[in-house]
Amino acid sequence: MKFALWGLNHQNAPVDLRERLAFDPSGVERFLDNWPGRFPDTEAVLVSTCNRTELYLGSPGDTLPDPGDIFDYIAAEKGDAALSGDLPQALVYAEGAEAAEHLFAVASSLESMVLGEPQILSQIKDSYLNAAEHQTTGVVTHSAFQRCLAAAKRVAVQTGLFRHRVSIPSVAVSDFALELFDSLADKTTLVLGAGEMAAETLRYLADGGVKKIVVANRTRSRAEELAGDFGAEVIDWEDRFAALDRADLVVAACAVTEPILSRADIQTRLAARRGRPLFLLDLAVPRNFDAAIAQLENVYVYCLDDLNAACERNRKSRSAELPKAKKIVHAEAVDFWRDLRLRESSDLISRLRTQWHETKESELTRLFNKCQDLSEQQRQEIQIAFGRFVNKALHAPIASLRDEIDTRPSTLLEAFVRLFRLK
Amino acid sequence: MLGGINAVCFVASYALALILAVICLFTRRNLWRVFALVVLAAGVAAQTLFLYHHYFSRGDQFIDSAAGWFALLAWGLALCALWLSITLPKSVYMLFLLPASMASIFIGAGMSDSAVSPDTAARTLRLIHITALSGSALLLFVGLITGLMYIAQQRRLRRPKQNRLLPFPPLERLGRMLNRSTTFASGLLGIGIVAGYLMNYLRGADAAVPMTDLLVLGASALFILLTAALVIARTNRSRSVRRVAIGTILGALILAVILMAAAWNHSAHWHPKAEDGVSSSEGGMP
Repeated sequence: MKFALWGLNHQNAPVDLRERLAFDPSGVERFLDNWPGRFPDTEAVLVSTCNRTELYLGSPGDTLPDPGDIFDYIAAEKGDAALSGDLPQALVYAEGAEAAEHLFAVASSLESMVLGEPQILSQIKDSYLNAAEHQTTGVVTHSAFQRCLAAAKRVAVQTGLFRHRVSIPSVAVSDFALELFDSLADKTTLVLGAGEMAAETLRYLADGGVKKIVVANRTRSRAEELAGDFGAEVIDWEDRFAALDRADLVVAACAVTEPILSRADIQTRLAARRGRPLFLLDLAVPRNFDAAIAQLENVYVYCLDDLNAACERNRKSRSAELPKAKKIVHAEAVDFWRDLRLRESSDLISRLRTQWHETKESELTRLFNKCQDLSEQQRQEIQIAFGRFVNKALHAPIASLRDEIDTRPSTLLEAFVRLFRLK
Repeated sequence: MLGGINAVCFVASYALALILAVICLFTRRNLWRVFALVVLAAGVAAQTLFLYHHYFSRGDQFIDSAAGWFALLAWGLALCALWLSITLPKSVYMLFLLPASMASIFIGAGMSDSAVSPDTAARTLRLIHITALSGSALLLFVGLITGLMYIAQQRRLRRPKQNRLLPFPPLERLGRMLNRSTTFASGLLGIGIVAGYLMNYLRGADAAVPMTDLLVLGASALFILLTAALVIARTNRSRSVRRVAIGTILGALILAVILMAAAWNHSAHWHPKAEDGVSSSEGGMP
């Protein structure tokens, strides 16, 4: 059995590269739709969030597709031929227990920008369910993702990482917006988007006492649904430009491939703002705001990459819980991998026993045919002796196989298959 | 008992508070901040008693002297440092205002403590002149620090990945403080200048301070600069606070140069201690 991952995230790739590899929801659908046609024997779960794009692969057999084929497939799905050449250097690879440990750490938010943020777990869950719907999952990925949800739950219960609710919006607003504004209570906030990050932003702002919140989304009904929970005003998507006149803080979290606000859009509104500073927070990848906006006077733009330093401070403040959480994740990953290998080796042991017992039976039949004058009691004694011999002969190798699961299982398992020509 | 308080008491307090404020930057522990505030408060209290004692022993003569004026300015700066450090915990006013306060004390110690204008006819005008100019200088120094913090904070907000050693208040608050301090500084400067001109008029041509005096020219130029900065800021609001910040910083630097030059270059307003022949033990800074 094989379990592996190819991926990149905010820790090892700049935002430009993450933008190139990010999949929007429809892109994920297409990716998973086409996967079985291209790689019928390989399970796949694609996790694409603002900070990471990771492809988890599983196989009940001993092989996974050639990396080159996977890179070509990703490049073709992204419609970016140049990606195929860039991915070997950009993507990180892990397999086995290491890949499982990474997945479990991601789901437990140990790899998140903001340690202890809860959104990542639901994003992982959604990615898994999405893959299951598209039937790209199988025995290996089912086991891995179900085990990762259990591991994340254990981390949440047994450590203090999730004790105080933190999120990317909360860190961004508290670290940057409050460096600009004296108070947010009298400020108008425009939230663009109605996804999970937008909801998290609204929740944080509402808890912080922000009274004037305006929500705009391409699908108005979703904006209304979200705004209703927080008493926010809803405007049409096209009215977002006019709303800039009264907004002090704009938070965008839309899954789009092109910027939703350009430099010209903001520049035309500056006169009406009469020098009031404008705080723009871009929580999406690909970025929602044109990078050139940052050059405008009195406009302060922040994207996810800018939050690293602030998140590092958050990480330090929660670092006391980190070793405990990492220990749990490591133990869960080792257990998961052991269980998976045990399942594989059990099947192999069963096949080995069957093979030897079939041989024993055929030899006994041949012997009894030659020795017709044996009494029933003698036949039974011989049968028992043959059975005992088979069991004793197999005992040592099977014990070694079981012991080996905890160390390097693949070597001995493969050796067994080849030595005994198991099918 | 009050006579026992001398400049060493409060300069030592200010120096210790300054050291504690620097320690706060690296430890970020509230305990050090509380110590710094307590020590500073003790220094301000000592200096208040010192000024009270000298004013009552010498009356107007004390604040009308160069030594008295600098002592008053130093006290105002220390008081501002204390007040701003309490109301704006995320600020570094103490780090900048206390050295300015101590510098004022040292400059004042080298200045004459005899009154500039012994005439008593224009007493009210003289008090207005001195108080308004002291207040204006004080606000300009606060404006200087606020303006520098504003520009630094603006720069820092544009470069979020940079390390932040010095804590600053929010940009919005700094802008508001800067506008207020500069507007009031400009207003007080205008009042002080008008009071000065009126005093000159009442004294007559013989006893008048010449219009070419360094402090008269400097204060007038400063008033024009600050007023211009405020007016220009109003015309283009997109960079208004930044313009006020630059105007205020320039103004405060010009003021510092004028004060230094006036203290050492025989202004008709002030003259060094050695020239007046009055012993410092009576009323000057030890």
